[in-house]
Amino acid sequence: MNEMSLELEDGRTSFRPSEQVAGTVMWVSDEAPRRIRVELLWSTGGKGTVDEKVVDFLEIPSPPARGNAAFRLQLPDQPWTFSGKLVSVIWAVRAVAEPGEAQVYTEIIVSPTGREIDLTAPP
Amino acid sequence: MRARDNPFRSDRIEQLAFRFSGDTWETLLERFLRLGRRGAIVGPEGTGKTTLLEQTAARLTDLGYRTALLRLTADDARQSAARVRKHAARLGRSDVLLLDGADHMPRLSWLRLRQAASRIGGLLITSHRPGLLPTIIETAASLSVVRDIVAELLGGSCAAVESVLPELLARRGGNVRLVLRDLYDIYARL
Repeated sequence: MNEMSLELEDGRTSFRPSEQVAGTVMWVSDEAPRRIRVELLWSTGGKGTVDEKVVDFLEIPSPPARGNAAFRLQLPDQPWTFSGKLVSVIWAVRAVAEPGEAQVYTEIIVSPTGREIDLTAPP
Repeated sequence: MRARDNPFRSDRIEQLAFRFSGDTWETLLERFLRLGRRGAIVGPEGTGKTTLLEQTAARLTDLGYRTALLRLTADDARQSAARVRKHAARLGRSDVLLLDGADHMPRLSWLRLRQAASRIGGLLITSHRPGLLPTIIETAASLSVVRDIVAELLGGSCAAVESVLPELLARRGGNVRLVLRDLYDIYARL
C-alpha cells in the first residue's frame, strides 16, 4: 500500500453521542489489497493496560489497487471523549489495508458539548 | 496533566525496545540456536524479560519460525499450565513456543511440558530464577538503562527527572516498570 487517507464529511472532528460518522477512505497501491476495513473505535490511554473497542466497521472486500469508498458508521451513547490524570478515552476512525501494515488513523471527539471532558482542568 | 499527554503512559512503554547491555540480537539468537532452540531469559521482575521475549518472537518470525507466545501468571497457574500443555501438543518442528512466566508452572506440569516440547521446534521461556532451561540471557536494571529509557520517553533528555532516578530505582528494588509508573504519577500531578 503506497498511500491511504481518510476524510470526514464536512471536515468534522467532533460528534455527539449516537450520531453517525461519515466520510471517505482513499487508497493508492501497487497491488490491490485483499480487503480494506474502516473502523470506528475507542481506546484508553494512561497508566493502566490499554483497552480498545471497535464499535462499528465497514469492510471493503477485494478492492481495486486505487480507489475510494464512502463510509457511515454509528456512534453509541457512550463512552464520551474524556481525560483524567489516570486514563483518557480517545475516539478515532481507523482504516486498515490487508495484507500489510498500512493504516490511517484520525482522532475524533465524542461528547455532548463537542469538546473533550477534561477532568484535569481547574474548576 | 491529562493521561493521554503523559509521556509515561502504558502504550508508550509497551513500544520501547529492549535495551541490551553487552549482548546484541545476533549473540542472543546465536546462543538460542546453538542450544538447540531451548533457553531461558532470566531476571528479576520489571527488568524487561517479557519485552525481550515478545521482541524475540518477532525476530524468530522474521527468521521463518512460527511462534506461539503464551503467558502464565501466579494467579491462575494451574489452569494456565493445562492450557499451555494442550497448546504445546498441537505444535510441530517449525514452531517455537515462547512461554512468559514459566516459573509459575507447578513442578510436575513443567516437567511434562518440557518433555512434550522436545517434539517441537523450540522453547524459550522467561523465569525469575535460573535452572528450568539453560540461561541465554540474564536481565538486570541499571541506572544507565533507566536514564536511556526515560530520555527516549521524554523526547531525548532525561534532565527533568534525572535527580530522582537513582532514588526511585533503589526504592523499587531495580524494577524498571515500577519506576516508570512512579514517573507517570509525577507527571500526572503536573
